[in-house]
Amino acid sequence: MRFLKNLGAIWHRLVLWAMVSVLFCAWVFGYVNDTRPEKKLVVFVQAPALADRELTLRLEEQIPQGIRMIRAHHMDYSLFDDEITRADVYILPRSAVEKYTDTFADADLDLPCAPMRLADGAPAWPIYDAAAGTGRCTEYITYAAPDGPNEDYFLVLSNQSTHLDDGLAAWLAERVYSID
Amino acid sequence: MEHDLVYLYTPGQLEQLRRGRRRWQWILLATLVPALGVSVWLILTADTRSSLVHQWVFTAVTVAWGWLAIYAYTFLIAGAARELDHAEMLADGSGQLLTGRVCITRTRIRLRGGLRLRRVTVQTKAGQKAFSVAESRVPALQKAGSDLTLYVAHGYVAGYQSPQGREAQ
Repeated sequence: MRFLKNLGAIWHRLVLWAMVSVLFCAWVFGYVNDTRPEKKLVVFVQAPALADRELTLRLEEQIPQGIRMIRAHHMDYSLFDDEITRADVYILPRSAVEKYTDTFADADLDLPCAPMRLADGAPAWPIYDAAAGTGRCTEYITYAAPDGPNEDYFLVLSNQSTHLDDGLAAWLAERVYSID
Repeated sequence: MEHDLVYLYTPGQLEQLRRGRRRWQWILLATLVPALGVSVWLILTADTRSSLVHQWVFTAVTVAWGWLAIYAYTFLIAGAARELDHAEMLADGSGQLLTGRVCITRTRIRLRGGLRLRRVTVQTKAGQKAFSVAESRVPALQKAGSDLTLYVAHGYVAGYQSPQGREAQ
């Protein structure tokens, strides 16, 4: 009885501690487990839905030498972290690809489809055909929202990627494209 | 007259408070070590597949240890420290004796820092006066009866005069 009475007197401290702990632990966990951009490959997806953990697990089935982790994030993740500025690969709808042409790198990928050339010459490889409703990674990425615009999606390389010279950004793009 | 006084805080009780405080400090330290160990292990062994579970267990361990620490500090460590300070203040010898009918009321007061008090009224020939007594000392005061000569200091009941002492007077 005394114990419950005491709890009642400090419940606000206990609740506050729990709230702070959840945020603090998430930050500590992410911070300690994170690695340098040179040891990480990152793909950002701007689609209605992304099974980020499942796609990450699938991508990490093959990890190139020198790389510690591969991450797949939805664009919403950029609200919490600046990792988007160090992304290697983007999967974007046509409207975004045509809008942010100055952020994509010129690269050659060994893919079975021809790239679309953007205004400044950077290539964008089609990854989802809205008209046919077919594409790559459809098990992990929902490209068409029932009540949203139905757009084509493209795979592009970021010109801010630290893995353009070692070819790992291209490797990641090809790896993403290889997933049914 | 001093030797006739029965103090509400005996040296044995003060030692018990000190020991309780030290014990809880050690318990907190002893639980902190495995909690930290588990946390470090969870962080270092996490991979993509297990990270979600590891993160939630890590959070649960942190929250649980924090709750234990908050509770133990508030009621068992800081509470004992405040009661010890309170007892030392009462023992400084600047009190006075007051004879009358003593009534321990149901009014409870909790001071900032955790010291719990009960209101005590004393009906003297000159009128009613009110004091406080630490909640943990209420049983000792109740045992002494209701017609008492209280030893009060700084507005608190510090002890009472034993019946033998009163008779001798």
